Amino acid sequence: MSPVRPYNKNCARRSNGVRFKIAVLSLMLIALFAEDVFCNEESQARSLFYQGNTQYRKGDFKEAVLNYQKALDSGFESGPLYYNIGNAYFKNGSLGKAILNYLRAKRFLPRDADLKSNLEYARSLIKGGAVRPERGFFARQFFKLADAFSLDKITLFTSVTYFILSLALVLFIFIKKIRRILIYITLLVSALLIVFSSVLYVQVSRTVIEKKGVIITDGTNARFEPLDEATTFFSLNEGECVTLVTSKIDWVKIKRPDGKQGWIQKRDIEAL
Amino acid sequence: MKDLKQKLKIQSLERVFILFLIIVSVSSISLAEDISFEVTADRNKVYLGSIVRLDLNFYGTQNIPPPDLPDIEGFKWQYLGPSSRISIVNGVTSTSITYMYTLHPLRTGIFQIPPLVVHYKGRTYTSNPIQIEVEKSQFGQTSRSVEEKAYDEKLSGLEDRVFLIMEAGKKRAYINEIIPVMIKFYVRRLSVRDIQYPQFSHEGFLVDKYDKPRQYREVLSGNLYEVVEFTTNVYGIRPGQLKLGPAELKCNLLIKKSRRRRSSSFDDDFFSSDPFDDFFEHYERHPLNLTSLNIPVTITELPKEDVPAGFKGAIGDYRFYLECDPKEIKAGDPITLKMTITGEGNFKTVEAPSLGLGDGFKVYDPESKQEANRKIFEQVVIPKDDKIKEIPRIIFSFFNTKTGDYHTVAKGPIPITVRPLPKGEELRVFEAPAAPRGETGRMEILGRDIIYIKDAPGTLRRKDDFLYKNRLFIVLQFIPLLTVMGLFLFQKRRERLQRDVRYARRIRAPRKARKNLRMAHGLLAAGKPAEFYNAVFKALQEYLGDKFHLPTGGITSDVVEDLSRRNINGDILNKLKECFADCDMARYAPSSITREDMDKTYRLFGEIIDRLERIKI
Repeated sequence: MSPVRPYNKNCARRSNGVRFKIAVLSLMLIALFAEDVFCNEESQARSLFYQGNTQYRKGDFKEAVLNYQKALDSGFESGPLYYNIGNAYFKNGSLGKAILNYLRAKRFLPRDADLKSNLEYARSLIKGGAVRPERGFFARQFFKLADAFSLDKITLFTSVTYFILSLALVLFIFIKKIRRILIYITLLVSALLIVFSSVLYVQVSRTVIEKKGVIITDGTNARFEPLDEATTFFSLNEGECVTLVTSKIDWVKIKRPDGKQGWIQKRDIEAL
Repeated sequence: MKDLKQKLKIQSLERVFILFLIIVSVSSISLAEDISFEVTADRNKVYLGSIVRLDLNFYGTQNIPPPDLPDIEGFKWQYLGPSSRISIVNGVTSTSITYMYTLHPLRTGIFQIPPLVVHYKGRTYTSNPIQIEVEKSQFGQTSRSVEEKAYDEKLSGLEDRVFLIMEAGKKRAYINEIIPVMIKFYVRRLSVRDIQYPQFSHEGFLVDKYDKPRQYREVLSGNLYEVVEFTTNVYGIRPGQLKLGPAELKCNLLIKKSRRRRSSSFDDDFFSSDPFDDFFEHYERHPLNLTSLNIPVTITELPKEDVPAGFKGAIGDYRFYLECDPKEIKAGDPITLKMTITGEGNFKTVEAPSLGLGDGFKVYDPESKQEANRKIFEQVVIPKDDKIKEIPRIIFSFFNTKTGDYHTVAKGPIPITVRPLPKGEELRVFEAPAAPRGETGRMEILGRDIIYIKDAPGTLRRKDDFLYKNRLFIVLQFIPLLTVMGLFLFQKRRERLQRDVRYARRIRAPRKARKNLRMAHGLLAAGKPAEFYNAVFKALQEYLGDKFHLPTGGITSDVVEDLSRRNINGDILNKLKECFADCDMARYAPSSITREDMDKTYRLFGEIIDRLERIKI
């Protein structure tokens, strides 16, 4: 008969402690390893970016595009990366893809003067000119404001304004002496919060709800039905920006800024 | 016993779970095994120009998504759509889905459609290969000849149902004079698709782009036609007898498929009554080339007599306006001359009127802007000194095609005031060529290209890694909301406690009672009966006083009567009475109190508070 081992509370506690330490250590190791993997991948993407730049300087724009694209495929993105891809495509003669990548870059560099200039120039080369939506004065100002912030910046601004508003409300509840001033502050911050959250909504809806795309094939025919034989409704030029409405196997239903809708082949468009 | 029951319960639960797992896995396996994949073509022999229908049949499922066909050698494919079927035979349900594609042969030969591989839910399904022979159409003696015959028969009576007419606005015109050309496409009771812009031969003419085609209905010889009208302008560029057209227009005619064809020996397609069959198989597209008649047009040269001196080739009927702004300047400042030419005619021939300004002005190249029926030239001129008093007369000449003669319109002179330069200031206009960029009046043509690439990639970050999607960030957003709500409720309660004494006493009653209960327990443990009962009595007084907003000092066992009117359970009241009686007994006959009595009173006291706390008052 084997002797019954007495239950040792201390022993159990100690083993629990060791387990906890091991768990923490392994978590730290995993975190370090993950960080290391992240760093490795990032440095690889960086190196591909610089390789792309070297090819661009040599005038080998096709190879430059390939390297930039590889950097993107590794799962990373940045404003300058999209900007350079746009330039390489432009030099390659792919106006549609150039505009597409400039528009992608705009999400990261909303106020970059170089990007603005290149995008304007590329747009000016669209055959027949780009169709722009007609907007009233206030809508124009609002969208100007919306375009001036990157998505992360406006998210942060909205959040900070919301925190300030909450703080003002807390002070309003507890300190009666300064309630009069707090009313004005609360109103002002609330107005700011409305503006910021509207901008945030517009920006998120652009990326999630109302997806945009750019025509990459010149003379794309938008048809009444998603069939090759369907009657052409209107034609689209390379570089035109449209809204994606719905898709069906090889076809996408698109909406032009003037509201006209038609079906085009998926290969003729690339989503932003 | 209880343990055994629980064990049995757990075991039975485990069995049910295992059974469930077995059922699920068996059913999923059987489902997975039931799916079969088959590819069929409606014919194995096809002629160039005809189509083959390829069906991808999946039996035993309807959830499989439509597969993307690979490139098939010798064919171009197109997806038509799905067709699903459910049939119940003797209570056995079978489902299937068919994805239909059309194959358009690209060249002759024998081609093999390789086995198609479809991956679905981790399983791979492979189809059977199919061989299709593509032949030239002329060898298809029976079917093609029948088909072509039918087609020719159908087309032969169509001249009055689909035709093209070309019209020119003028039969005689001067060189560069606008000749409007209209090409009308008429169609009656026919389905026509893919109408292309008409082409026409135009030797000796320049042709503008087509305007947006107009579509309307027109009655011609008693028949109602659908009309598509294409309009454009042409200009004769050399004199002589020229011809416009004939115009040609390409489109596709939808012709109902002959029934004979379906039952012909080559077309062994016994399709089911699938609506897709009706839609796609009963109509065929036949390319149609329509040709119009040509139009003779005589182009004559402009008269060589009486040509005005300032004539630069403008042809049409125009009016000329001149504006000058500003009219008061100092020497060296620019003046903009706005010359507007309105009217009808070929604006391409309209050039900026020549200015005879002389040496007193520095003249820059004009900028022109073309609008509908209007051309505007903006010319910047700079008076070099203050002696200049006017903008001299400006002449615009044109040839009026309506009257057949030359016209000259003169505007001006326009008086201007040129102030002398202040002392010490040099006239900038003479320095203009060397002046730095941005100098007034300097017209510099800048090159345009994209700006160079960025040297650094900036902050690289994971794709789609936006702050608004970050979970921690989202959770953080709830903190201010919850804090504000919590603090608001806390403040409201605090204010009520200060304002409403009855509420404050009721809220505090259980807390105080618990404290007193703890104290009584201490006295009980210490074996001090007198102090214990005293404490219990006081605690009861305090608790009842606070709870029912009564004066604490006057609370005795009589309070039970008062409480009975407040709808309090009789059992609690009895217990309360008992507790008061115990306290009274202990006070008047302390020697008879035992430890058990104290325990009982303590429990009673605890129970009274517990039960009263559960009652809503």
